[in-house]
Amino acid sequence: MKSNVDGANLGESLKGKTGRRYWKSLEQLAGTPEFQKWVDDEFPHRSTLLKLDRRELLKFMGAGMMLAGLAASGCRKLPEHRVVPFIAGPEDYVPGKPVYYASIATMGGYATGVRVKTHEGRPIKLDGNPNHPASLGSLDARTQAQVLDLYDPDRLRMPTYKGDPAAWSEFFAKAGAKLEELAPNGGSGVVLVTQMVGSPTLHSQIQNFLFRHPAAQWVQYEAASRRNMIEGAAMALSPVTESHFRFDLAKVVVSLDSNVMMEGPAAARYQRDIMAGRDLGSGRTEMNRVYAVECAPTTLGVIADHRMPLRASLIPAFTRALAARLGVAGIGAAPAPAGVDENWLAAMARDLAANRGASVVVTGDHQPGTVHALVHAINEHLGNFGTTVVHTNPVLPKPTAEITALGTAVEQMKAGQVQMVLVLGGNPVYDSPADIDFKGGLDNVGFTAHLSMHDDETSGACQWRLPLSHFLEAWGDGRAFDGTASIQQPTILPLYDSKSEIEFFEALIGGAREGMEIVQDYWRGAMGEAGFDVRWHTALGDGVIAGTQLPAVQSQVLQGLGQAIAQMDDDVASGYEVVIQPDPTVFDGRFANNGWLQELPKPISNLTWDNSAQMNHDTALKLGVEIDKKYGFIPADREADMVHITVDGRTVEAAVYVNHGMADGVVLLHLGYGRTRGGKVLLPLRNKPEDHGGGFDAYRLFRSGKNPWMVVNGARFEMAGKTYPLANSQFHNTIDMTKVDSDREILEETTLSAFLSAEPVEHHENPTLYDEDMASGVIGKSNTSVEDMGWNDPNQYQWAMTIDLTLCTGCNACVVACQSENNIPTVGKYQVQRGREMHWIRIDRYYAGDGIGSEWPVNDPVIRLQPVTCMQCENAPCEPVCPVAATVHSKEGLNQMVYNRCVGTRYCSNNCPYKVRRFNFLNYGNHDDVPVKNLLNNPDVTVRGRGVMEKCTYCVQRINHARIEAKKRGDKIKDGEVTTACMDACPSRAIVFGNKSDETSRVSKLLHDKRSYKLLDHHLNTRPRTVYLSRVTNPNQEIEA
Amino acid sequence: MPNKETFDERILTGEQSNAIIDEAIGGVVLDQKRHMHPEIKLPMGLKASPWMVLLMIGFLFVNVLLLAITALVFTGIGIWGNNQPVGWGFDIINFVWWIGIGHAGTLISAILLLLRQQWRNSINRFAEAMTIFAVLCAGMFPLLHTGRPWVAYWLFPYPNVMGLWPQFRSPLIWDVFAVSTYLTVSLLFWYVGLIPDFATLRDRAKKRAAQIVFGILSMGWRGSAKHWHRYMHASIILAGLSAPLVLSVHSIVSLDFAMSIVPGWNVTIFPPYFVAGAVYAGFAMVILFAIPLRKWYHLQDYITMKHFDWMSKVMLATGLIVCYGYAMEWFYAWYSGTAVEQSLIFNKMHLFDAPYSWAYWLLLLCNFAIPQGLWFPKLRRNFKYLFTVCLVISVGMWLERFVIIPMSLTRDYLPSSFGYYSPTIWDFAMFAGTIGFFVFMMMLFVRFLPMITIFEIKELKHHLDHDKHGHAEEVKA
Repeated sequence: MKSNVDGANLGESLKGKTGRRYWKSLEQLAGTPEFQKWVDDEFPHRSTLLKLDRRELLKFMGAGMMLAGLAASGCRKLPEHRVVPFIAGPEDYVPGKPVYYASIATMGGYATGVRVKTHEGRPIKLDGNPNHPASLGSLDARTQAQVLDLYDPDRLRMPTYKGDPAAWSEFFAKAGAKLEELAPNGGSGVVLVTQMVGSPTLHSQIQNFLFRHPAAQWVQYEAASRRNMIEGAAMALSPVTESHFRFDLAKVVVSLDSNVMMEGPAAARYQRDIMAGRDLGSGRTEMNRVYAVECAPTTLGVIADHRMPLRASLIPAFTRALAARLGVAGIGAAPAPAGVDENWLAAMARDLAANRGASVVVTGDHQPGTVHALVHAINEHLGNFGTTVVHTNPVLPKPTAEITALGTAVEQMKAGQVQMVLVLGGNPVYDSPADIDFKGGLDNVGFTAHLSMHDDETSGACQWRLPLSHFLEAWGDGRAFDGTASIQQPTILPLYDSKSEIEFFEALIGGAREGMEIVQDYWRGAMGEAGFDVRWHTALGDGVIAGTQLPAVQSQVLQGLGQAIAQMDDDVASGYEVVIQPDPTVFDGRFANNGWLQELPKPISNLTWDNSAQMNHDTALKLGVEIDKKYGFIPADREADMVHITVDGRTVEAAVYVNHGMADGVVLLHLGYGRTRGGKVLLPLRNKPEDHGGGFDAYRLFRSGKNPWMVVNGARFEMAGKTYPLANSQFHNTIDMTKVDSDREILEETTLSAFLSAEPVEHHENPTLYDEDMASGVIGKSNTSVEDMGWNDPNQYQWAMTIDLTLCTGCNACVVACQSENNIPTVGKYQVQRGREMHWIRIDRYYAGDGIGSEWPVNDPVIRLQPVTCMQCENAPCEPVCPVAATVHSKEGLNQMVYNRCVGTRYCSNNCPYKVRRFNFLNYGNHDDVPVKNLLNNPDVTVRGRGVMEKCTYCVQRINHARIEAKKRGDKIKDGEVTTACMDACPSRAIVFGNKSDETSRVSKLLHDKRSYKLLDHHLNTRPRTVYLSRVTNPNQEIEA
Repeated sequence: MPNKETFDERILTGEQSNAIIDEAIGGVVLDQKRHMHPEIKLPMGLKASPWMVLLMIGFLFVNVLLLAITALVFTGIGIWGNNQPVGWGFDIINFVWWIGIGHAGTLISAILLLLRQQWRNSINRFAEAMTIFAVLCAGMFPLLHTGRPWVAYWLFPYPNVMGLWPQFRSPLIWDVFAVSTYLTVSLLFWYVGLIPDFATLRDRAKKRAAQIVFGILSMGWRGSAKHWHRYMHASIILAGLSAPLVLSVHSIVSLDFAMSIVPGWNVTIFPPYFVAGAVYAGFAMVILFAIPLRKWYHLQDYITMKHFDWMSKVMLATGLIVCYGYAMEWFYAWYSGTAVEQSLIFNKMHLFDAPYSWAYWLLLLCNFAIPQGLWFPKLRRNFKYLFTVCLVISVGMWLERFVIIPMSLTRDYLPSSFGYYSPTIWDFAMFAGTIGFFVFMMMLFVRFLPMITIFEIKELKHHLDHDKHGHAEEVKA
């Protein structure tokens, strides 16, 4: 504003005003019109176009451009989201505090109780449900890993029709029309293919459907079925029943090529019961005795007191010989098969006979029905029926897996007699026997649909691909191995536009009920209306429906069974035999897209990402596999040779893995690999099998004949002349390889009798060259022992762990539990090959034998396992070497890792004698490309970035959680209040964690057990807080001698 | 090059005057043409001087280095072969190797100065340059081998609001101090020594730009008695500072290993053994450069056969100390009675069951067997042999670190965690890149700075002339 003030007009504005006036400026005082105009103008300093010169104009243009740019990027209107706060929050809901739900996971139709941990509505971890008979609080690796499947980015997200997105309503309209069309002739031409159905609700729905369409076919198929067991029961028992075992009552367990601790509906429970019988932790002085006769080492074989490798095809003969020794009626004299030590067999038989009513003989699902039948006869003869062997009516409504029916259905499909195929779950195109061309059948049907989590092989062959809900997203129900029923309750809304089988059927028959209503309606019918709500909620809370366990049924072995079996001819291998089994991790292939399970080292072999043709050293040599002859291993830097295995004109090319302890002449192949569709994890990366595994499709050898699990004769083998890189988490060259390796004193073991007669071991301080003060670093303070360094301040919690080597079976449940709890990433096959797997706990495997050098028995070595995790050394070698103090000791004895501070020199890892530290060589934990995976992360645990070291923390987040709870109570943390994830998961209860400054805690007592020893401590004075309890076996004196 | 030159005891030959010395040494810097011959034939009819060829090869590998570093920082240590249990591989091997190579320079310039060894004068300048470039190469590895190099500065004790300090118990912190001190002192020493020569170049330069640049670099040196007096003091003080560094730097580097509990690392003999190894490798590298450079730039009068003789003897002596170290490892393994130590020797030596025993036997061949020829004066004066031996020693000293670092880590306490280490293309790229960087920097150094100390040669000539008149015995050494 130009000043227009002169003396003349000054005071103009004050004219005619009285009293004291205030003014701000002379212009105001003057009251000029210019001033008034200036006041009125909102932007008095603005330029006008007329005033602008060229330069000014350009400046403004420039500024305008810039602001336009700002507006485009920063000031755009963001999409509006409605945020509605809780007015009244859900009951007991505290953000940041996990909520637990009881539910079930189902495999093969049988339910296992799970406890789902959810954070802000996201399920993040599965634990066992302590109330559930199949779990008792622990959970096997496979079930735990299924929480990862929920967030699998490769899941099918919406229904598609011939590859184009479609709506559910469209599907049901079309399917309804089709059913309508076929209704006049009773639904003939409709084929339902399901997996084993154990859910009572689903079964009633299927029955309802079949009632409406009586001519429709329902085929139940699962590759890994218990067909042989059922066949054996049908052959032997009257009435035909299903049996389960009370291993907790058994003093002698004989396994005839079975692994009841890893396979079957009660694996975790059986492991608990068997290992409880071997637990010396609470002052027990008795152990059960386990004999394992098996074609390939299993977890049961590893813990067995006596293990004998024997061909799978010789097991029938062995079983007969055992029955003969025991005097089972009708068997007569049966010689032991060649290669079996007669004394061994006789001693085992005497042991069984001496423990009448307190023994169990079991056989595996892949052994033929005759073996199962004979085992029934043996158990009855031993008086085990009604004590250790419990009979019930079959748990599954339709217990058989109908391979024959599947074959017939496919024939009809090919013949054009089928108009509609609905495949509910499962993946029959991939996992049906090689001689049943399911895909060929589907191609000949006018209406095909597949309800599936993934767009897999079967989806690829169907017109309709329908997304199936994960069990954590849907209502359902199921029965445990003993018949106990549970409700499956969802813990999250479906992530995608998916339906459960129950919802699918409801919609298919035109119903409109929600999943919960359907299940509720069923159980209302089953339980009765009276008090239903209370019972329903109790069942949801408990995870089991009380009183639904099936009652024991008296069952007897048929007369004349012995004679019938004695007359049967076995199929005995003349050359090499092929044994096919479900994979220990990915099972029949259904978990092939699960990274946790793919990277989980398979028990004993420690292979990851692939299956293999496993055989013992001699068999491999005979086949022409190149092996270092002296030590019987393929050196770490050499790839595995490949072999062609041909059965009935179908060939599988597989990499050879030498699995010490297998029976001579047996080639073991696991199912579940060689998948071609259904996700990114299961496929070889960039079509380079060496990068991503993918394995070999053993289903090509899986036949629909009498016993699909074995190819006793007729398999041809030839070397492929190629090699394949297998990713093994542990190299083969192991203990006892050289003289000097043998006195590292890593594993300690003894026998029960030696243990009981041994004097209690005094625990000494390690010798030191310095006086105690010097050694403890407290110089100039006299009478200070190492104990007073603060390492063991009894006023603090002092955390410690014991791992009982007697109880560890190597089942890997702890590994997955740790991975799930601590946000541990998977790294992929190539990184595993490079030795960069991230698991914080690992199961070390050692072979041992009597000899040294070339004399050690490579074909039948002793196999020993040792779970190793951070030892939380009191005198930790990793701590002083870290240049930035990123790993430090807590007053409570934890060796802490401060991720934020870590610069990643890896010095700590080099200096760790246990090699338990894991380094993020790449950005393994980053899920930015698949954000859905971030939902799985445990919010209590930092996700580690690239270049950072990590390791076991003793689940410090759980300790802190318990500390908070205890402080709220104004109390100390009680024993058992903090459990680590590995401890929770362990079905054997081999891991005990607690506060060692509490003398009464379980861990304190175990630390003073005379079996306790500290790994490498006598070499290095690391003073580990994780203490091992040495392995005790209970060998039969007659065999030992 | 001729394999043999006539050997005499002199450390300065030919007809010399101050002007001749200025021209022979300073002229290399001032006259670009001196770098353009001898001409060597390249493929496709091209011709270039060895200087140009080496410069270009060096430049090429500098780019490889930049590529390798970029890939590393963007992707992570995972592109290397390091794994579990082998946390340190090429990264630390190369670090130790380069630090070792630097040692000859400091030894020559500091310790030999303090010991008044006149033969050092002809070789100290480029040996010092090698020190600096080698330390630069070395320094890259510990920085980049961290998982998160952008926070590697946390290793320095800098004041920060969180009150966090590095952990002074860690040998890696000692490394940080040792190496940074070493670089600083070496750089200072080198520069101070260059000042009188910068003045000479300033005075002799004909181009304006050279006059200005050398004028600034010479910091007003006029050669007055006062200047010389101060110079002498400064260089003695710096020599005094550097002398302990020769021993301390590699001792401290060796403590990275000796302080740990890894079998094969936890060895008390490491500090002297590493220092000897460093001098061994350092002298080998000096000879590797001295042989061609004196030939290409006609400096035979200044770097004489006597020099090579001395250097060979130093190598022989330090080499034997290193081999004593090897022998002590065997003894130690036996005497300790410890399984892990014994299996370590087994893992090193067993031809069939130890995956890396080839490296160990090659190491013994390189560091022990082949250099034994240096006992013979005839071989010491044979350039082909000498050049080969120096190459072999460089390889051998690299293998020594390979044997110590990743090999010890592959098999330590728990056999279940035994592993295997194989480097990737990026490990080699990074290593080749630093060699390229070193060569590139050496060629720039030869081009822009006097590679022999001009004034010291003049001083030497003065002494020698003086000695002709009656003090001959005193200087003979």
